Amino acid sequence: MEENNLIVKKALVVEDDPLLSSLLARKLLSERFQVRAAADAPAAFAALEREKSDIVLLDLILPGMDGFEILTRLKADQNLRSIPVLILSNLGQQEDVDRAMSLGAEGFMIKANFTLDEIVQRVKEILNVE
Amino acid sequence: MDQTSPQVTDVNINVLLSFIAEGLIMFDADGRITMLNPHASLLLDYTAGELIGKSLDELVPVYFGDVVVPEGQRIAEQVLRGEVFTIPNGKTFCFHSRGDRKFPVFASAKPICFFKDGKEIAGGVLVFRDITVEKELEQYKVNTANTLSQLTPVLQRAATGDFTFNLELPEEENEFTELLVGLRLMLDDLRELDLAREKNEQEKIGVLEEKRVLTEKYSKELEQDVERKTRELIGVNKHIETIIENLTNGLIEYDDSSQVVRLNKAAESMLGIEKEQVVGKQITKGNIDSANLNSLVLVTFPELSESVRRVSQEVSGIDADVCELTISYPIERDLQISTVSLVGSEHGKGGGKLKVIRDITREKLISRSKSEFISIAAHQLRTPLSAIKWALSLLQKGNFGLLQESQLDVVTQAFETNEKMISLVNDLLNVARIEDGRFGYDFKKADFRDMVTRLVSVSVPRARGKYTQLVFVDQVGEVMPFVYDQSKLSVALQNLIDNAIKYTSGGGMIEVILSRHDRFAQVEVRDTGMGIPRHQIDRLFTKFFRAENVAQLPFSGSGLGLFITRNIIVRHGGKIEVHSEEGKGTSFVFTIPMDEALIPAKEEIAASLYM
Repeated sequence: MEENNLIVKKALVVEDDPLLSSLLARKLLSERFQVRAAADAPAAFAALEREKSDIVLLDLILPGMDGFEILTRLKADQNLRSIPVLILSNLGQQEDVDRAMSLGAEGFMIKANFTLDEIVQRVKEILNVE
Repeated sequence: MDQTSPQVTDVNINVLLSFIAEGLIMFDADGRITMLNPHASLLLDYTAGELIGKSLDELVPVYFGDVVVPEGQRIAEQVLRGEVFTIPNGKTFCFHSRGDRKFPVFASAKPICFFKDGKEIAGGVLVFRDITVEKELEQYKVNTANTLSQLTPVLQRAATGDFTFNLELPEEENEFTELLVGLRLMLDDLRELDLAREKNEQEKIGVLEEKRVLTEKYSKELEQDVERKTRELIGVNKHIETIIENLTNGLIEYDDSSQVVRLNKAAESMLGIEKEQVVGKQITKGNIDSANLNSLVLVTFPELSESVRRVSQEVSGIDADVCELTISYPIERDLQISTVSLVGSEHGKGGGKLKVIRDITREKLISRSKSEFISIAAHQLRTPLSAIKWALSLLQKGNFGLLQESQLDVVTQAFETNEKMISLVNDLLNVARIEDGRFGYDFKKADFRDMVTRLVSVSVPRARGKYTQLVFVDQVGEVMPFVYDQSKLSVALQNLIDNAIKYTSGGGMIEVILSRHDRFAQVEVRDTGMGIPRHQIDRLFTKFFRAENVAQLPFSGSGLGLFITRNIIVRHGGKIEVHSEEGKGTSFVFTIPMDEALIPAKEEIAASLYM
């Protein structure tokens, strides 16, 4: 566990709303994460192509390919399927949650219901870092 | 002797005449009275002196009955013509006395010669007798005979029971009057009796007749009724047939061997079949491979469908088996099928089945659009709210540099306001989903006691902010994990705790008491707050309800929290009760089963959610 603390974790934020994206990035940076942001699916896959992330924070409603499809693709990709995906969305019906979880998401958080502290807390739990 | 003999004779005759009980009058050739005896003067009511020398016929009027005897036929006139005067048979001859007494007489007169003063004088002699008594007797006899003869037919008719006539009473009262009056009264009585009897009989006959008429009338009416009812029934039957045929819902009737007895137009078009093709045909599971019967087979045996979903057991009070499934022939449709068993149907001994098919394609579509709308609205509303939330929380935490106290106050207030906005959106979304039947429960085994303690502890700071004590009272100790939806029940309990904090003023006390009753866990949230007006308690769990004593308070409230809470608890097969006294406090008590078997199946809850 201790060595995990020494390694800087790399997070990819897939979020089309610039303000939300920058606030989340700022928070993660302040928690010593290495952060990249993508506003849509092509940007996200391009980023992962360049360098794998330790976690993907994925919005569901996105221009073009939506979050569910991105998740499906990630989990279908041999190289990427091991990356944990935390869904951060303002969708929140049980069927959305169920669908995301059944596609292999690690967690589902409704943005409006959680503060950034709580989100980061959850990210750390998933990555097993303190 | 010759000298004295007439004298003696005269005296003797006068003496002799005075003893005669008849009146005797002698008159001369002029008709003048020359002599009379005392009886005559008595009867005629004259003195002898007044009569002597007077004309008999002029002085004494005579009558036959009531008719005055005319001149020329009077007594003296007749006698002086040498005739004998007699009274003709059957006639009553009357004298009229001076005293105005008219009386019947027997009279006889004839001419005579007598000597007076030695001279032969021609004249006449009249002898008469008052026969008033005889006449009266005779009259009496006649009257009696008449009366009796008049009575006889009356009595004879009366004897035969004929009382339709009556006795005539004589104008003047007589000795029979009393008898006749008596008889009349008797006859009147008899007639009365007879009339009464007749009337009675008439009445009896009348009643019988009336009865007969009524009976006839009734039977006619009955006949008409039967006819009318028959027509109505035929009409109703036709009516029902027409209704069935034109129902927008499909309808198929089967006998006990799954043979199609009938189906209506809607069923034909929904399932892409025709009556001629299937009526009388037994539907088997094997028919599923025949393309054009595929939908009918799925409707007949819904268990063969992959998409089948059981819905409620009871629809509008009829014990029906209701399910929904999707068919693809002739076009893709969502159908809701209600199956009712027919008891004592005319087809088959065991009774057949009736299936009502409703095309719910459009409803499903609308439901899906509504659900999509909710999703999108949720996303659209929550995105800016989460941006504000995150931005404010970063400001609060000093990520953009430390704030002055006054700045921090404003940011904190803004954050709280934003939180309320988020929770309102969440409530609205939850209500929309509850009403849509898509609240999406996720029942999993979890630690209930842990959840309650966690919710209490995260709420303590807020209670403390209002100088209210919030405590957890554990009356059970360990509780084995059981199956429930943790996130939904968290919402339910959080709502109760939030309300308690909101409506309990400074110095108050809130207890969250966990206990266990048989197979149920019980949570009580008891506060010393303002309470709920008694008359409003019934409406407490309805949507958008806010009690009148809190509506004017500065705290916001959507009026949705308790509606959501109750639905969540009911969905778990639990119950929620409230006890409150205005000004003293409120206690909400809810129970949820710890046995999974007591959680209602989804389909059964659907209807009760719409309260």
